[in-house]
Amino acid sequence: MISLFLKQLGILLSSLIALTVFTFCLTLLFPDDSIPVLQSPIESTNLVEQYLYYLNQLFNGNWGSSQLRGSEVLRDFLLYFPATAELATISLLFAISVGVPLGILAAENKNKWQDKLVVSTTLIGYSMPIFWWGMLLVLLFSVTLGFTPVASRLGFEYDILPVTGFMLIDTLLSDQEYAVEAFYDALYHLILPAIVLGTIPLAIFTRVTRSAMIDVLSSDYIRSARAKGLTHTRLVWLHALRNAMLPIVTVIGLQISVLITGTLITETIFSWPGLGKWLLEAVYRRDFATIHGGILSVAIIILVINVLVELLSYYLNPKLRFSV
Amino acid sequence: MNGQPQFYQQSRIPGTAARWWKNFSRNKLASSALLLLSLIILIALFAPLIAPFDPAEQFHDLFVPPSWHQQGTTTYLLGTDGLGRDLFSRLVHGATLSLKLALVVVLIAASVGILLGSVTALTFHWLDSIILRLMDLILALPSLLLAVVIVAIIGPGLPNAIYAVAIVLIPHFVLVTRGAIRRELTKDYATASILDGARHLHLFFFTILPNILPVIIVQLTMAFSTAILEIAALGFLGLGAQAPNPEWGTILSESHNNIISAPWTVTFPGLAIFFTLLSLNLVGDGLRDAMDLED
Amino acid sequence: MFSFPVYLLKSLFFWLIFSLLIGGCQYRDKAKVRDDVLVYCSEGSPETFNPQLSTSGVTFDASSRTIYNRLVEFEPGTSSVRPALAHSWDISDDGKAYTFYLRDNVQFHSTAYFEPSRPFNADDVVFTFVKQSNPNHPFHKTKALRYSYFEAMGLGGLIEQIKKVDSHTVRFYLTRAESPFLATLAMDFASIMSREYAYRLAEADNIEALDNQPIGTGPFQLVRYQPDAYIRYKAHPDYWQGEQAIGNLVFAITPDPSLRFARLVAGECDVMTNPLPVHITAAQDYPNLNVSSEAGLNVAYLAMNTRKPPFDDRLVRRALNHAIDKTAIINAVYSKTAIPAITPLPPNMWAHNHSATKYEYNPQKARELLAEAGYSNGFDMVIWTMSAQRAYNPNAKRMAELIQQDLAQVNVKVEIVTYEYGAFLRRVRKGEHQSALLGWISDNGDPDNFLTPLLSCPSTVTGTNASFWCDPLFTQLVSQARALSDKNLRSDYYDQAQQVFLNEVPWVPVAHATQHTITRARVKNFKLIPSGGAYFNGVSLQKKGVKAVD
Repeated sequence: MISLFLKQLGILLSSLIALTVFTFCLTLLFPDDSIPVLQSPIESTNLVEQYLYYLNQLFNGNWGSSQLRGSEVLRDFLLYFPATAELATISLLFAISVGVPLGILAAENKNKWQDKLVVSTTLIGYSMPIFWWGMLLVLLFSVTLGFTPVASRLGFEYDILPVTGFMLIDTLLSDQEYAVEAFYDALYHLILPAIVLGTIPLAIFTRVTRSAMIDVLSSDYIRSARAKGLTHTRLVWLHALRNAMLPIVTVIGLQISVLITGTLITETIFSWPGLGKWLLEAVYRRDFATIHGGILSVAIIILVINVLVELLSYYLNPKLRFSV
Repeated sequence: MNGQPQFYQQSRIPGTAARWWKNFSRNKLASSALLLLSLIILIALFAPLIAPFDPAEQFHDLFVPPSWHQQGTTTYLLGTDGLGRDLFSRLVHGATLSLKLALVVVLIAASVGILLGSVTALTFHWLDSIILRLMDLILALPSLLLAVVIVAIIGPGLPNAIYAVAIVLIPHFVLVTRGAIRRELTKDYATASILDGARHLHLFFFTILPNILPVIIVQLTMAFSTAILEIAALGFLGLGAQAPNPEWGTILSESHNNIISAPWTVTFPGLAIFFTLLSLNLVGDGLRDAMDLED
Repeated sequence: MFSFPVYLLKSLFFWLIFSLLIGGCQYRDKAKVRDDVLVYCSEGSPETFNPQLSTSGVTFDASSRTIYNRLVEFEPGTSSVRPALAHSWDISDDGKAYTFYLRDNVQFHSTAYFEPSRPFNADDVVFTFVKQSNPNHPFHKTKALRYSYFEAMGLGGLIEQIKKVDSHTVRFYLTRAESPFLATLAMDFASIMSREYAYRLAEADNIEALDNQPIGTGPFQLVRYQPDAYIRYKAHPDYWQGEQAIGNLVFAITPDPSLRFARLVAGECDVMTNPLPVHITAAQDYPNLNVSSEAGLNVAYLAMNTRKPPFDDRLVRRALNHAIDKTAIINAVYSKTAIPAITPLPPNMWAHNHSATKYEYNPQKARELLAEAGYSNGFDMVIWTMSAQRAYNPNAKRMAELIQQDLAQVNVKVEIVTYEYGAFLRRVRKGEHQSALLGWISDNGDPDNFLTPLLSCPSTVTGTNASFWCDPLFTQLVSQARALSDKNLRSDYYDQAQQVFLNEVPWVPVAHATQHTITRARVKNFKLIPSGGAYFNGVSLQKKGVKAVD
């Protein structure tokens, strides 16, 4: 187990180094003096020394200041990170809590109408351009029906102090008299963006669960358990699902990428003040310091999460766990 | 077989391609999707003949609703947009544009990706590891994010969007090709060929390549679908095809502003993208099933 | 047999539904909190909260119009000036000394970051202006922004001295008689700041806070600002005009105009300014949305360079005035959100000459005039336009195309050349054009602010007179009017000046863009100020019952 951990750590470190080399090359491509803090003050140094200086600056948290507002890039990142994290988490929960049971339903009724319905729905979800899907949902639910809000994280009439940056927590922490009401308002604001962002992960989870469950359900040990007389529910949930978890968990790791991609679009549609909107604004306005900081921070998050998911899947996979 | 008594009812045993086709056509859903896809391709090919107007031509009738509305007219089948351009013509020309762009992207990505994948599957272990790590790294980064970064550096616009999306698609081809080749190499017929004395290049072209073709074909279809989506997404974000190009995503970014007042300018471009993607994905799935591949 | 995971799932599901229902009921009651808040969908984040440093309407909406007052202010809905922090004033006979008598008992804001120890007095007025004019003043230095309007209005050269006569009297000595000075003092950059606050900040070595933690005497005080998200204000409890009916004011910063409209329709915002024409049309379908409009203090025009033939011939210029169909332009380019322009001054200005000659759209008459001038076969001309969209002209290129079509009817062949904004202005200033589509937005609503920079002889030198038209009579009338303080006398001079303009027509005045605001039905007493922007003084909300949707 320890050697596994070390191996993953090694992979992470090498990936991070490769990443910093990549972003360093990016800074070379930017116009001069975009991020003065990251450029070595000594004139005639070679590339390697410049890179080491750059790396050192990154370590010390000197990621430069935004050309637009003058605020520090790292601080901006910490400001916008919670909004995206909150949205991504809720979307993921939505995708898993709906996708896995749907996948099980489809696997149990393979080739029957339930299965066909689920599979066609996932295909539709997978083929849907989410920027259009989001617009349709807003048009229907927010503008026409008035069920959900149009945009933002919270109604403007609520004055909530940003303590953690997570609206669901901050509302409950607030000492305003409308704290609980604001909490529900925040939930309502999360519904549509989470659905939009979670649509493609939902489709993927459903598919993966379905195929994993089909494999597991047709395997020998399940058939013998069924012959033993295990009830259906216990069979599916306790035994089959646990063994199907592995590919599902692996897929969760891949979904992080999908979620980040979706974030760029979802935050644009719903005016969600998160990393996606922050990065896009920087691209539009050619704020290179922010672009650099945004890519670097997002990539680091992705790499770290990938490693965590790898470790988790190793833990869940007894074959690998006991063989290492 | 000549001159021999006919024991079998069919005179020819169907070849692989015929077999695949037979399997595919049995799948009703996939077949209808293929029909739809062919229709879209036809529209794209004959766009100048089908579209009643020039997509950039601005009339004085702004925001005319589709023809079935009270205020609509049959002149503008799907209505007009904020600058008075006929939506139907724009969508038709947009089909040409989207398909053409996706084709270029996929060709670039496939040629580089397959080449790289083949090289890495058949080469030294350490080179293989390096390329694999690199591909994993690119795959780990979200495709749209990568595309946005590339565009941020080299600027928005069509050619740059093409490069960006192509780069993002390459790892998929590399990994798929590599995986497929390695799988084939473990099989008996390959071992037999090697024992027979086949040299590497011969092995590759005559033994392996024909057998990994199904996987490549499916991957091409999927990549095509991804390419269309990514290009549209970049267009929507204003980083891809720029206005007044009638690319579907670009049209959506312009009409996004008028979603309440002129919803048809949002519905129809979206439907165009949706149906194109859906038919591509269905065909891809159908091909996968027909060629009996693993998921 | 009991299965724990299933039980867990079932109970979670139950709790989820239950809490959503409870929450849903709570959500429907949210009207109570919402009742006391007016949400304004604003177009962008303010550059600063110090209106002295900006020219942007967005910044003024967020600062001068909420947090500050001025000595005099614009009457909402007109461009006339009314008393504010000064309850009355005297102007000396030679027009060079303005004495302002300040209101008593005007309180500054009391916030978490500042507690005033005295009410407003003459020291604050002197501080506000000397800070901008005197480079050696301790508070003059700024980081990046400049005192743009103070410089643009030429106050440095106009104000000779500012004297505090007593605690509630201030006198301005001018270098020359200039009646628009009063209107200039109503502009946003002349907002009165607290001297006490400034010096207290200086002691704490925190001068920047003057710009981003503002203190004023205005109807609302700043509570919290989150960049690119929102600005929260609350009513100033000791406001000299009485506490505002709106307890809380929130600016929801929404740069996307369609999102602003969507928010308005859904009830998340109550007020939206600068809607697109398509929103104005769409708003007609919603019974709880009101659209109000007002001719803006602007004008769009085709300037004919009188130094280049054939525009040195008055007959040709008059012919063009008859040949252009302004109504068609207003329909196509402005989507009807404009009114035709007859003189350079919009009709809601007090100096507008309502009985001036009108040039009716009459292509036949145009042809006759051209023939008389010797151009019966027409001639070729070039129109310059710019690619940027301006408040007075949403689509200059389209306007040029329509003019091109109109002029083709009278045998005049037009070539259209488009330049980017910066290049366009540079070259027009140098007089390289034959004709150009231009426009103007007034700063202080004073007629002189239109006529002098655009049409007087001195401005042919600075280049802001794009037709390079120098008429001694016109210039004399306008400068005389500028020196007089009596509105009626000035009005007479302006009437004459406008008639001179219409005899010579160096321009084809095209349109005055109207400005619009869309408000929800619950918003009462919202009035537009002619220079555009959102002004919430005096606005109230109709309280609703329990329903969340009105």
